[in-house]
Amino acid sequence: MNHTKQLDRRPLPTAASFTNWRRGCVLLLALLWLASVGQLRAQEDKPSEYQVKAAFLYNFGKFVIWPTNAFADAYAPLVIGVVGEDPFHGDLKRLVAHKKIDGHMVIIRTITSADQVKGCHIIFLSSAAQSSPSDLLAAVRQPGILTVTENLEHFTNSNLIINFVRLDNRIRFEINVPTADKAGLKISSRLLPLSKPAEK
Amino acid sequence: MNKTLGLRNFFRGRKWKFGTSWLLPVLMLVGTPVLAEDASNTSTNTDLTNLANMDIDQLMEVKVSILGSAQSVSQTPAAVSVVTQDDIQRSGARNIPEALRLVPGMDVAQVDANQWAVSARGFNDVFANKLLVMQDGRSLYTPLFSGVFWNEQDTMMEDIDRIEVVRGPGATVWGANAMNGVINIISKNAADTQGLLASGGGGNFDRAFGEARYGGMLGTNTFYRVYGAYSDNGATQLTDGSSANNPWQSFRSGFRIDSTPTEDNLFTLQGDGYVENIHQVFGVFDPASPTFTTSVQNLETADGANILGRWTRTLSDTANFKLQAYYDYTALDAAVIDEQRHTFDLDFHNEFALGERNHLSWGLGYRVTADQEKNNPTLTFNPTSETLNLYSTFLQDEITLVPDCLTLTLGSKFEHNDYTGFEFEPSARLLWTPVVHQTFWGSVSRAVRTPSRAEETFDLMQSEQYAPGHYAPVNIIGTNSYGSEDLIAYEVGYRTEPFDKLSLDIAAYFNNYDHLRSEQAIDGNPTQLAIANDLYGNTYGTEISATWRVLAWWRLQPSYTFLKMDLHARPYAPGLADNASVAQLEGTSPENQFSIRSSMDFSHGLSFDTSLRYVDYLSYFAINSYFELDARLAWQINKHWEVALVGQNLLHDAHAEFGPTYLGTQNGNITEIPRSVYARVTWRF
Repeated sequence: MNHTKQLDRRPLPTAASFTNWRRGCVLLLALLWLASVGQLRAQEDKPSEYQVKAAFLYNFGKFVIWPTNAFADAYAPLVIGVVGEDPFHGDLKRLVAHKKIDGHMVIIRTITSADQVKGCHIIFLSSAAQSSPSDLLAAVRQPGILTVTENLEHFTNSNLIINFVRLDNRIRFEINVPTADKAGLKISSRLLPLSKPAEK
Repeated sequence: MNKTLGLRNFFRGRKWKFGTSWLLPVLMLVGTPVLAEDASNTSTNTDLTNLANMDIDQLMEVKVSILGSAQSVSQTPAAVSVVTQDDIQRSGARNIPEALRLVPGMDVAQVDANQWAVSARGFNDVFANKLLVMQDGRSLYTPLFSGVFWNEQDTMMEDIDRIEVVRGPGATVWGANAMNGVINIISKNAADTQGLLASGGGGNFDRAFGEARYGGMLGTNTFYRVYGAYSDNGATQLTDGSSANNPWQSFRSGFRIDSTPTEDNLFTLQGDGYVENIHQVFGVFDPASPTFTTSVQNLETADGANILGRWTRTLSDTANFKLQAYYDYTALDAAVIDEQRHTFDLDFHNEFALGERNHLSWGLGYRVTADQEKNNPTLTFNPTSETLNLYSTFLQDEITLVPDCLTLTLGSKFEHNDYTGFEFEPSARLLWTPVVHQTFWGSVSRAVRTPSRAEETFDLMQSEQYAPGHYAPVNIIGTNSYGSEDLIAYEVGYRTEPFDKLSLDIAAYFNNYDHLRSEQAIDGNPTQLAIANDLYGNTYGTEISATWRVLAWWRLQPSYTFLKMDLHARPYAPGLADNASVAQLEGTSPENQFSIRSSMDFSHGLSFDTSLRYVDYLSYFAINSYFELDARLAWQINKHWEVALVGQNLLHDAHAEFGPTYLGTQNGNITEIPRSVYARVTWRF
């Protein structure tokens, strides 16, 4: 078994032409790296879009007054429904753990069908969930529910109440006040000025 | 010399009619340091606490990153796809290879009832060896040949959170074997699988299956789930319509516990065990037979168990570390292979910001794998028992050159294995986002595939037919002079959302390989072959995919994949070159693949999904190009009950997708996958 192994690297036609180019690239990259390391300043890593939206959802709960019959009693939980696949990957659940709003514990419910909507106080309809079955989409638009969606084009006519938009890498939201009124929800005057007016 | 060359080419120009070879591929024990897996719930517990305590005015000023959100894919400087739980469910996929068909650019072929060939960017085979495959951070490919026994990899499909796939090299972070792609199967946190789920059904090919899972709480911050799943799968058929006698049954069970005692600590403990009975026909080497082979109807058994623990600690907004250990046991007992293997793996991963523009990550890994092989007339190992160590480390820096516009990622893996010593795998990736919804990326990276146990130490006997009715015994041996395969990959990509309802993803690559595996005739004797590194060449191609939300209730997802392989054999002696291996490698991956998936939602909980796919001709097996169609009609009756009717491969009574190569299953005959229909009922409570 005296076979010989040939590990001589015979340059390929293509490889050869790349050699100089490669060397130049490596040098350039090294310089860029050095230049960037030079700038040592404290940086904060940014949270993800949905983590910030989760925090907004929790905060909205503090600025909305629900009709008196929305809670069975002072200890009944405030229910946030998330339609379809969870875009928060569990972060909303983690964020509201052990938190209370006006004495109400906050719980998160996954909504996949119309009959699960009952009992929710806030419902989040992610972009992906906007194509949910029509009976489910109809069911969320009922009195007593603060509906929150995102990146919706024709928001004003959507009969949904809050719409997240992204502006300059920040999360902003617009509020549909007439729809909120129709739903019997009173939105705090502190929240309204912060919202970007819904475009007509 | 000419005569022997002719004989050899004649051998290699045919299908491996009677052989049982196991060759190949490589090994590698990768240190899997970065488990992308818990990126969403680890890096950010502190972030979350901060966010939860902010008031609205502060929230309005928070800048968001795109990582960890649905947009993270569009901001990655690599060809990345994510298959979600919803995608898996809607496809009707009953196992992981079927779910991988959903990934643009993947080449998934069902070989027979219990074998799949899965690859990306060429080199497909049952023993495809250039993909790194992980489940929750545990490596799934066997160091025996660096490929995956897909029938042994399964879980409860409902408990998969998502499958992340990188096409192209991921070696800088994941190490050797992450050459043509990385697949990471990520299961749900136990907190997200609470309650009872029971599901069952059956059909003509997926004969009967049932599974159940229960999730509950152990104290306030600790969740658990347990599951069990059984399936009984039917046989494929030979070209004459008779049964290939390869049905199989599997049972598996497992658990996962996730605990967050404080907000910045996450502990995960999970484990699985499985037992499989697999009927298979093998061609076994038999020196007494005139054909040197005997067909054996074999009842293979495969079983295994694993346990994994992971601690993820958030140190600050920008820093965290992860410590993970697992133990994995696998055993396979078949007519041509009998192996037991124990693997232990330890990984540490840390990342933090360095200044305003640099985000550093680094890791350390150690893996040891010990096997015990039992020799048989077809396949022997010398030594029969071997213990291999792998040490690895990597360092990567993500540099913001222009905030929100230009990012450069530089890094390299350094590892040491017992066969080839030190290996390094550097890469440079650039991401450019000139305007929102337009992303360009490019990369240059090096990856290696280190030798597998088989390629270094095996001794295989097989029979080859060199003329009609004439057979010769052929001996192939692994050698310790066999070295790593190399790749330098150049990639570019572009992602855009030209309209609100349309997103488009294009990736193109040029791969330059050297030292690919070949076989050398020892002293020019074509019946004595040794594993060597004589092949080189280029592959190039493109993968295009789109998602179009035609209407609120209708989504279309077309994708197209083009691949061209241009490989060559370097002569190892005057007039001798392994052109047969070139023909095999170039002839087992389709040049063109096309698919289109349609997903529709109707009222009353009804949904209808269809998927049409086209796969090009495979010259090595002479398998013609084909179209196939899958469809699923499901009705979510209420929140507890769902029923679904699934049809797979509906366009033909039976069709072939791939053939046996080295392992002489079905005595080298191609088997065909039948049209199949199954019904399923799911109950959640």
